[in-house]
Amino acid sequence: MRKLSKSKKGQLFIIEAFIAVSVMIIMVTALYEVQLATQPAADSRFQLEVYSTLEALDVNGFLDDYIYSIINSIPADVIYYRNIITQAIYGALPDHGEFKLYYEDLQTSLVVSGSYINNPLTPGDSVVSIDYLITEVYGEYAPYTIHLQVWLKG
Amino acid sequence: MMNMKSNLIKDRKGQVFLLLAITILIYLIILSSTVYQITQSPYIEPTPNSEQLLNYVDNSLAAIDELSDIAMSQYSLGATRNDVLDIIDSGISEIDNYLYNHNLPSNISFDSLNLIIVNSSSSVNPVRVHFETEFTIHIDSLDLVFDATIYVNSSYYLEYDSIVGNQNYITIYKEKNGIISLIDNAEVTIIPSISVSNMGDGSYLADLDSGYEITAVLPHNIILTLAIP
Repeated sequence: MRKLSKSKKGQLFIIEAFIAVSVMIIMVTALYEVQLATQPAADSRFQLEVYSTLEALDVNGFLDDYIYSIINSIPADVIYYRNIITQAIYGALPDHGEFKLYYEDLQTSLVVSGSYINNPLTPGDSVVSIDYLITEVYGEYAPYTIHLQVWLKG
Repeated sequence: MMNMKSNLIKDRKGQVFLLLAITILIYLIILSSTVYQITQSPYIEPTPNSEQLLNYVDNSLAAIDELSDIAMSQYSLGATRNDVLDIIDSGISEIDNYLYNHNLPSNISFDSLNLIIVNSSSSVNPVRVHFETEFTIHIDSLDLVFDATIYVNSSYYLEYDSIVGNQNYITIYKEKNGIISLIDNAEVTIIPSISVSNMGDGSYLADLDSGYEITAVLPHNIILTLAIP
């Protein structure tokens, strides 16, 4: 080892070996990063269930009714429609599934205060984001995106 | 160390080594910048998923459909044809943005020249509000190519069967692309004020007479008015 570090060839060899190892480490790290970034989202099965539920809630007017009752400050309706949406989404999730939701007003790009459902919850590692667009509320042009995060606990 | 440096530059092997080291360095820079570009690509987050992307396409089609309800509602409330055209313009631009933000660059348009919007509220039985146009949607992304022409032909009707006797039926229904569905959750009022029973099957029972005016508020706040001659 001593001989290797003393001779010029040895020093060159050590530097070359060091560079080669560094290159290998960087390449492996890079590949791992790319793999991590491109791997499919964790568990997309319930994602489709939740999307279908949002569609059904929209067709039946509950997504519109909820935002309408918030905008027009009708507390009883807010609670009523929030419960309907909450129960429907939990129904689409596995037992250990969790979610949070809010509306974004696309005309102002602001989050609609009071539209949060389950806001205090912190999403887990395997969080999946789903967006849903509505353009009409009670016959008015009112574009909103509903932002939904779903995840599995534990 | 200085001695080693000068030897490295002078010595042919050292020069080859330096050349090699520089090449490796350049290679590393190119590699890392490529990896950085890949990880920053909008196609990474959210992860392309064909089902998820199709959901967004479905969602945009539903949003286009909602535009027809807005048009009929606003027209039944007194908006002009130009107001309706403006609303649809804004709507499709918002849907375009929504798709673009989900990695689905799109081009949506509608046939404004041949758009038909009618509100026949009058004394002619039945009355209807009608909307008809064609939307075209073209999505061209790395993950999905989608082309469609959507023909929307939608009408809401209010009609009564007769005014003979004291048990008369008012029927409210929607016809969309030839498919009829009954509307059982309209709010029906009559002037002069008389009671109206919702039969729960799209029909409403009342004692109608000549000179009465029936007003129905349908889902999506579409209003139809029919004056009985």
